[in-house]
Amino acid sequence: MHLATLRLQNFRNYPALELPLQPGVHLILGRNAQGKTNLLESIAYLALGRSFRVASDRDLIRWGAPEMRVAAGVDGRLGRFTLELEYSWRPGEGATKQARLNGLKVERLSQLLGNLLVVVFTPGDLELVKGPPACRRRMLDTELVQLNAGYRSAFARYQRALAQRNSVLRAWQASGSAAEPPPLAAWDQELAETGARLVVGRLQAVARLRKLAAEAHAALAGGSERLELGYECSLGGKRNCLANDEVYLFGGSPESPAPDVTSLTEVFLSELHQRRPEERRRGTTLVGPHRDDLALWLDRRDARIYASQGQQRTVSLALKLAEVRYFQQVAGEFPVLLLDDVLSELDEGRQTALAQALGPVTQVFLTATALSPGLRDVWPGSFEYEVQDGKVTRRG
Amino acid sequence: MLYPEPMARLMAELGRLPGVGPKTAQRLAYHILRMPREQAQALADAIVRLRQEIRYCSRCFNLTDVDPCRICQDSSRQQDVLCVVQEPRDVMAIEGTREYHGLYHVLHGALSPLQGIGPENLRIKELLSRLQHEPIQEVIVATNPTVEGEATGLYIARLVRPLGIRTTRLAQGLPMGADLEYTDEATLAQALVGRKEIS
Ligand SMILES: Nc1ncnc2c1ncn2[C@@H]1O[C@H](COP(=O)(O)OP(=O)(O)O)[C@@H](O)[C@H]1O
Ligand SMILES: [Mg+2]
Ligand SMILES: [Zn+2]
Repeated sequence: MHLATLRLQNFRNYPALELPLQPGVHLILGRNAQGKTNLLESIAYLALGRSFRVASDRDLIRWGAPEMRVAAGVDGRLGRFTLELEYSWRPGEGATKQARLNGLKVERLSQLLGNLLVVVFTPGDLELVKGPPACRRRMLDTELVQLNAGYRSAFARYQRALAQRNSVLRAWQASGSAAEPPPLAAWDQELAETGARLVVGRLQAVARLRKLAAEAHAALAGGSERLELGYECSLGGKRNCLANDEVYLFGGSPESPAPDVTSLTEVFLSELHQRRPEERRRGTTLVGPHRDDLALWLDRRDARIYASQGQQRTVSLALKLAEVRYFQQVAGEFPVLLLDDVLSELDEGRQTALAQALGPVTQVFLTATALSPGLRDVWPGSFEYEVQDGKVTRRG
Repeated sequence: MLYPEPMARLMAELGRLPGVGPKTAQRLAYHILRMPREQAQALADAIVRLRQEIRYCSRCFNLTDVDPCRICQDSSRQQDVLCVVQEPRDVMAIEGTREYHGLYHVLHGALSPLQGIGPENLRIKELLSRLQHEPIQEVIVATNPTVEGEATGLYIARLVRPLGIRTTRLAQGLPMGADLEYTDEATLAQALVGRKEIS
């Protein structure tokens, strides 16, 4: 799929922007702090309903303005559609956030997701390998909320149930009483049902990503090392890892490693039951998908611990390329790919390999501070844009 | 801007309403000022009467102008089925289907520990007392399909089941995360007919 138009009003440092777009690679060039990342952020905002930076919606409104709007026309597999997301904040009136799909207001923001598909790659993603588990979980979650409506609703419900349950546990911890608060069991059930859906969704995704990531990595690293992916589930301890040669996930087989939601709900519930005393002591929920991790091995060594700088780069790039292919397989079309400032982090060899791998992708946005000598050769036929102080001009 | 006191006061009161900011409050106040006198009086009377005459039914806790409410008083209704809902507006929604002929019990909320709402803040004690004193054979849990509604429903089911009373919930098919009040009547009617045992 590709964006055919992008329209911004008071988004970050863009007072007003109307940009016609087309399939192909878009090089977004400009000096620092001109609005290159902001432009990519606006596209991701339409796809995900939130910023990919650590930013609240209010940070996205141009300073001094009361509201902002992002809109796009998208050409997808099923034809043209339009998306619009509007956010306003006024003192005394609070915030409103409204999305429109084909001009019609959607009742819930989650209905926006899954229409425009994006994969984002920022310099921060180079932390994917050695960063905390949360950043690898976020990668899986960001994929799955876009591709899977069931996952999307389970994800929101899980977060909610987790917050509610933790609040019960904190009160229990503070009370000093040994007697279990009666409603705890009700929250267990809701947590386990939605959590089991998340684990099943992630296992299915990892089972597919394993192959794609290994292929992408072989192409980038010249086949010298083997990348393997796994899923480390906090339910049932290390026993329930998903590794390439050792698949003993909840009794599943390598061909169908994903257990069903019902049996996993039972596993989750009994695990919660066993952990009661410890959870009471700690005042928080100790097992569940919010504690899981995506495992990464290079030649059977844990890349999360041992990978060198260079290996981390290759692995994180391979993960992103695998993601793009995964979207294509599941959705039947390529996502829009947003690459922020990543070229400066990659040597020429990896840049060329990246350009080759991205050849078939329908639409790519790539930011860079300068058009380095080799860039045009690496990205032949790309469109060049210059960003300066919230204005975008097409070059050449 | 300095408004005459009665104007400022009305605007302040309107501004307290949900979804009404200062601008809207100002617009509404001007609108009320320009209304024919009788119309403004009718609005004021309606508000006063609402608070004087509407109260909660002492049996089912639905909104009513007579106590017990008209549904509780209606002896033609099934006296052995009880439908548990979160809010009075859910009673209206279910009545709209004309599929249900039993009694109701309104909880006035759902469990939400984050907001400090526990079982003691809902009409749950009153529900259990009714189950002891009335010939109820089936409790239909019709809390909203939100995370909080589901947990509340489960909590109630766990309390009711040991009493040997059949416990059912509305069939799925309700949009997840939706409120009952927004569900169209056809879907709701279907959900009622296809209700399931809570295991
Ligand atoms: N809410 C906002 N309103 C106005 N300007 C903003 C806002 N948020 C960020 N900016 C400005 O945007 C610029 C940074 O844009 P960014 O896209 O991150 O730069 P780069 O081109 O280096 O990627 C800075 O000049 C910053 O002051
Ligand atoms: Mg930038
Ligand atoms: Zn009544």
